[in-house]
Parts: sequence; structure tokens; C-alpha cells
Amino acid sequence: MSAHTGYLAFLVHRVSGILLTLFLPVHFFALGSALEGAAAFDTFLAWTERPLVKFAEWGIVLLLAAHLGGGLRVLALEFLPWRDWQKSLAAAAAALALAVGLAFALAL
Amino acid sequence: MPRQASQTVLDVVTYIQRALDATLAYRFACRVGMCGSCAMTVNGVARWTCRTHIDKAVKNENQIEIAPLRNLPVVRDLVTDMREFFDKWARAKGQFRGTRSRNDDFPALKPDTPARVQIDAGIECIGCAVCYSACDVVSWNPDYLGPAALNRAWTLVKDERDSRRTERLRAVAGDAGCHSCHTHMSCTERCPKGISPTAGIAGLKREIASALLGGKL
Amino acid sequence: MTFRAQSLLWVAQRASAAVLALCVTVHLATMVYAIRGGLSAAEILSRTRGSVAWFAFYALFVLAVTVHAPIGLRPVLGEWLGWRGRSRDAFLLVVAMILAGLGMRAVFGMFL
Repeated sequence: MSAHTGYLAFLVHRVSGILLTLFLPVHFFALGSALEGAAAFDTFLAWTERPLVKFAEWGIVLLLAAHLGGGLRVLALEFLPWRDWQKSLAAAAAALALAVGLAFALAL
Repeated sequence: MPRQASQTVLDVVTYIQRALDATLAYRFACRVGMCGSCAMTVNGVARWTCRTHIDKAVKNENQIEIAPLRNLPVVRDLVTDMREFFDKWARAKGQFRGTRSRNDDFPALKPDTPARVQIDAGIECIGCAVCYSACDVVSWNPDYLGPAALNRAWTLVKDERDSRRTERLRAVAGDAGCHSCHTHMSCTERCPKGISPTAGIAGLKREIASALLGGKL
Repeated sequence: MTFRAQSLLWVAQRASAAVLALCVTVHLATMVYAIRGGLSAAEILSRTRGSVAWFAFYALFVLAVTVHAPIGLRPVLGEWLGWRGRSRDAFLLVVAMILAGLGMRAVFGMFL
């Protein structure tokens, strides 16, 4: 199957969605530990300082940005009047994702 | 086999059948890019073989792989059974039914209304099944009606003269219909007539949403 | 599932996507701000506890996710695993419950 732009955009969108769905329960569960008070949360925050965790966080933000970019592309294709520059939407989505990923990387 | 200038894949297939293997089965008709009968998979891509130059299609070492269209049962060699393709066309209610009789006046249709422009963008489909063959959702979902059937449904949904609009929207909604399109746009990429079924399918999604939320479905 | 229900799923998916586009943008911006500041648990919680606005925002976020993720997963299960029918939809309902449950637990923990 030829890997043209639209197909790649779909694949990134789908795979990032799957990974996010797997990650989210973990994210929610970790945050829920705040119920046990500030001390437990601090322990958790200390754990998040570890480089591997930071890298994973950055990866997850990138996934989120990629999924958002792909999603905006789908919304544009489905709701906006049809134009010939539809292909460049995939590029725009990718650019957006990258930008967000970089911003987050800088902040970390 | 002899290489010639401006040779097409169809030329090659024809040569093979005439000179090398008389049992080879394949379809063609006009051989000038009008009928769509010669559609096959060339190096993994669905295309009209009469409109594919060998020079453009060969990969390394002058190799070319010619296979029958994907997503359709193979009758023999390069010939596929097109029945399911056309059955889905019918399931998507791809037939026009008007309300006027021969005794009524002609409807006055302007060619430049937004609806008509959209219809015209999709109406040249000749049912060659290249889009159907290119679509991964068709491969993954056996019930999926496919880009051609949905595109045709779209051209009729937008047609003010047609009387089966609601029936048709019902036929193309849901998992087997337009909602399974994931905008890969392989159909648009490969359509030899330059049609964008993705556009028509997006239109169907919008029409169905309006009808559904307006209680008209 | 009827074609009407399936069409409604599509509408819900796009609607929740629009909500999430907003929520995700706000969330990421907030996180960048918070991380830059190197906030501790006490600091983060002091800002979020008792804030009805933040509670409402994140509750809406969780609700949108609860709608969006299972509906998004549905075609993946059908197309790539061949899993269709009632059992798939039952499974997805369970996924939704888990997301809602864990999500609201987190939201309550942060804000109340």
C-alpha cells in the first residue's frame, strides 16, 4: 500500500490515539494519588524528575500534539468546503505537533 | 519481450497473451483511457494499464509486477469478479429516481449553483474500481460500501430532482457507510478521472448529521 | 447497533474532538507554565484546591475523553482485530467507565 501523505497522517493519528488511550488511565491513576495528600503527591512529583520519566512525558505530549494535529486535519476535511490544498493539511498538522513538542521539551 | 517507445502496461499484457502465454486472462476494451476496463494493480498500485507507460511504472532492473485489482475476488489471472463492487453501488442506492413524467416540463437546473458544482465534480465516475481497490477500509471492513458507491450516492443526494434522498442517506450511514471513511484519501489519490470520493463522503457525513439532528432520518 | 446510533457516535466523536481541542490546548499551556515554575505539590494543590472553575474545566475534560477515546477505539478494534458486534461495544462501555472513574477520582483529588 503506497504510503502517501493522507495515509501517513491517518496512521500517525490512529497510532497516537491508541497509545494515548493506553496512557491515560495510568495518568489519571497517578494523579488520583493526590487524594492521599500533598506528601504522596510530592513523592510522585519527585519520581517525575527522573530523566526517563521526563522523556516519556515529552513523548506523551508529542503524541497528544500529533493526535490533535491529525484530528484538526480530519475536522477540516469533513467540515470545511473542499479545496485542492487538502494535502498540505497533513503537513500543517505535523508542523503543529512538532511545535508543541518542542515547546514542551524546552519547558522540561 | 521487445521494449518499444511509448509502451503501456496494457501493451505488455497484450503481447504476453499473444506471443508468450495464450491462456492469460485479462480485461480491456477501449485501450485509450475512457472505459476503465483495463484497471489492474501495477507494482502495488491500482491504475489503468492503458494509461500507464512502462517507463513510468518500472522499478529496478526493468521489473514490473502486474496483478489483478485488490479487494475483489479473482476469476482468473488478471480478471476480477466485479459483482460485489456493483452490488455495493446498488446498496448505496446509487440509482436516480425523479418525480416528473414525460408530460411535465423540464426542471430548470442552473449549472453554477453550489450543489450542481459539487455534483459535477463527482459525476464522471465510470465504475472502474480503482478507488475501491486502493481503499484500505474496503480491505479491513468487508461491509464497507466503498468510495465509488458512496461518491455516486453523494451526487444523487445533492440532486434536487431525486426523490429518494432520505432513503439514500439511511443506506449510506453507519459502519458500512460513509462513517467508516478515515480520510486516507487513497481513492482521491488514485482516481484516474480526478474525482475526490473523500469530498463526497465528507459531504454525506454532514448531510446525515443534519438530518439526524433535525429528526429527519 | 442501528445506523442511526452509529451516526450519532460519529457526531459525538466530532463534538468531543472539538471540546478536546480546546481543553488540550489549555491543559498543555497550563502544564508548560506550571513546570517552568518548578511547582511543588503544595503549590500546585494550593492553586487548584477549592477552585470551581478548574474543577469544572477538568471535569469537562474527563467527560470529553470518556466519550472520545472509546468511540475512537471502536473502528480500530473492528478493522485491525476483526472484533465487531455486541461484545466490542460492551468492552468499550467498560473502557469508558474506567476512564470516567479514574478521571473523576483524579479531578476530585486535585480540587476538592
